Amino acid sequence: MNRLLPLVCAYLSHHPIKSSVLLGCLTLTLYLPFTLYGLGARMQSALTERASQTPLLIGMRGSQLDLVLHGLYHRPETPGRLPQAVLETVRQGGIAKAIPLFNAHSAKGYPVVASSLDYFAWRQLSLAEGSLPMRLGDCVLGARVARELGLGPGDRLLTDTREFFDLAGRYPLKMRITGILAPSNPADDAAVLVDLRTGWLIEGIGHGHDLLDDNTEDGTLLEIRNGTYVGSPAVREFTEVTADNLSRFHFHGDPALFPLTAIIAWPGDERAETLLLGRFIADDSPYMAVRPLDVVRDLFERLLPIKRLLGIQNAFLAVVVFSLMTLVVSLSLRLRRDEFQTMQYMGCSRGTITLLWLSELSLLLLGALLLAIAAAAVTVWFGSEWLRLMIG
Amino acid sequence: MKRLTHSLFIALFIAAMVTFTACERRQSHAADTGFSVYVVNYPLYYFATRIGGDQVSVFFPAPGEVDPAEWIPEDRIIQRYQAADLIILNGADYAGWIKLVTLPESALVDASANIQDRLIEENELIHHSHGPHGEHTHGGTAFTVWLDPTLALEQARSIKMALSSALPQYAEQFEQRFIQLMEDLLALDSSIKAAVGNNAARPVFVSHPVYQYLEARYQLNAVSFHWEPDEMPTDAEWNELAHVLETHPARWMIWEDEPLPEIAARLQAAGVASVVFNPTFQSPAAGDFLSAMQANAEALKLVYQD
Repeated sequence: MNRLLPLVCAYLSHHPIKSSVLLGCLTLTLYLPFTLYGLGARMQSALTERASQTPLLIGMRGSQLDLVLHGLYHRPETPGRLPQAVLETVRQGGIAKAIPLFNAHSAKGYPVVASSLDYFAWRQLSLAEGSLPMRLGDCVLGARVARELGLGPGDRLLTDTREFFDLAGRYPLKMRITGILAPSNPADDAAVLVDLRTGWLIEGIGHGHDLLDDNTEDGTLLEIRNGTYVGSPAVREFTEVTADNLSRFHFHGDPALFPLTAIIAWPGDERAETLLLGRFIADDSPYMAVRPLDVVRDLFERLLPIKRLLGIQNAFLAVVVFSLMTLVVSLSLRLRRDEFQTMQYMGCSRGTITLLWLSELSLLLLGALLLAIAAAAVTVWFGSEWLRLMIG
Repeated sequence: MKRLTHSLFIALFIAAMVTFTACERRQSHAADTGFSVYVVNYPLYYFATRIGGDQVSVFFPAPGEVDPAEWIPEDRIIQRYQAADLIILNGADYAGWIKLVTLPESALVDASANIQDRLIEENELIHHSHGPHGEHTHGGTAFTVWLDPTLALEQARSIKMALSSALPQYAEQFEQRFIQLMEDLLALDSSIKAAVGNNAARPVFVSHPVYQYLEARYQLNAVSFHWEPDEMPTDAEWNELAHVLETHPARWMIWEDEPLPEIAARLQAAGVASVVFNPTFQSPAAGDFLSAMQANAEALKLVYQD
């Protein structure tokens, strides 16, 4: 074998075009299924990793997938808004801990995710710079948002206006950036994280304005009705929370009705989980509780036929390439008939000639396998980041 | 061929590692060396210190010269609250700044959560301003819960339960210290009851609407004003006093702090003497919550036993 190998290498290098074509065909045949399998595995891992860290998601009854994508990946689609009172239903009896989420607005196109400080601990988010939000109007940027906008602690970020031509609508809020998150996961890297009350401030439930009292003399006080000071539209509303005007901010309405878009819940044990699910299981309940991992697994099961189709496609491709290769090899054998005959005249046995030919083919196959694995690994490496960004 | 097979195996192994390595970033938390408790007023500081003993460090960072109910902490103080293991709130809408800053929900403990049905709702909302700290509001839910020692006891019980839940290894010590505090608070309740005696119906004035729980507990017949001890009332306010005196012949006005001598003199001229009942928003100049409240009980003797 050791004596044959130099001959095999000499032959392959003497016919570079033919060897390259064969190597390329084989590599491509192997590359495609390897890459698809790798990307599929990576996507499944990315989706299930975050889902498995989130025991339960609670939201309005509707599409479970929308709720999971919204609660886990900050997607804007949501089955609807639920009142904050549901949070107490979840926590009732101390059977579960719960983190509220209100994700209904954006800033420079990035989702503004309003939650409690517990969200940072729950997702194990750490700060690369600055500090956590401290007061109303503060925000923390995900690593990607900070990088792409070129902003840092101390800078300001304006929320997006939803209704551009609604001149009487809510003002965008100029948020103070207090910190930048260290890179963690694509969903949080691409989000602007704020306190729940800041989310409600952006929503317009809360606001801050000049004081209206008995001493107001600039014409902005219209009347005092049942002890309530009614101001005119000319009352100056604050578009930014500062240390000086912080105390002027307040919320209107019943806090129990303030909106959330999802609740992350984690029950203490299996019994608590059953009890909690029981609170939302009734058909007439406007809310639902889902296990994100079940929803993601269900999604993959639904995608299984597509995966099978891809497998069949790969098999067809392999058959085509194999047929082509058989043709190329048989033509090559015919072309090399005189060469093999000369070798026989020189005393080479038929077995040695067959072994020589098989060695050439094996070397090509091995080379193709290695190249395909390396190319697939590189593609999966970069492609999975792209996939995670796409999911996140 | 062997070498090739070997190379192939290594290549496959590397590819598999590259492809299937999952990013698992679980971290273990090192044991904390201390347990920090932050509170929003002095009575809670006193209760937490009494119950927590050496096992916890209690912090009440409001500057001594401000009313903690109207205070808004600066960023560096908020960060300290955020880093606390427990943040004990008074409840009853006390310290409005809680709604304006970001605190970890899981660390919050409402000391009045178990006495919601005993909280006093006020119909009238009064905005006014005085001193260097601007306008403020009275109304909504009365918040000086601790002025009723039996409610103070319930607040202390909430603190004990929160500490025992967070540090179960010290639950027994917390329980023992709570029992001592309970005895002190019940003794205080008896002292105030004794000071008031059977004269609870005697008409009195209170300078500020902060004594609602004291009035409710001991059924005091009090009319409340909005006077500040360091601000001479306006003529309209003096007229209002004279008017109220016609139907409510009080001989004493209970103050949060020593009134200006000229205010006390003018009141005295109207037949109303002044006495101080310190609501203990802040740490007393001497002694502690209990001694200040015992001094308050002594002051009430003047009102009800003269």
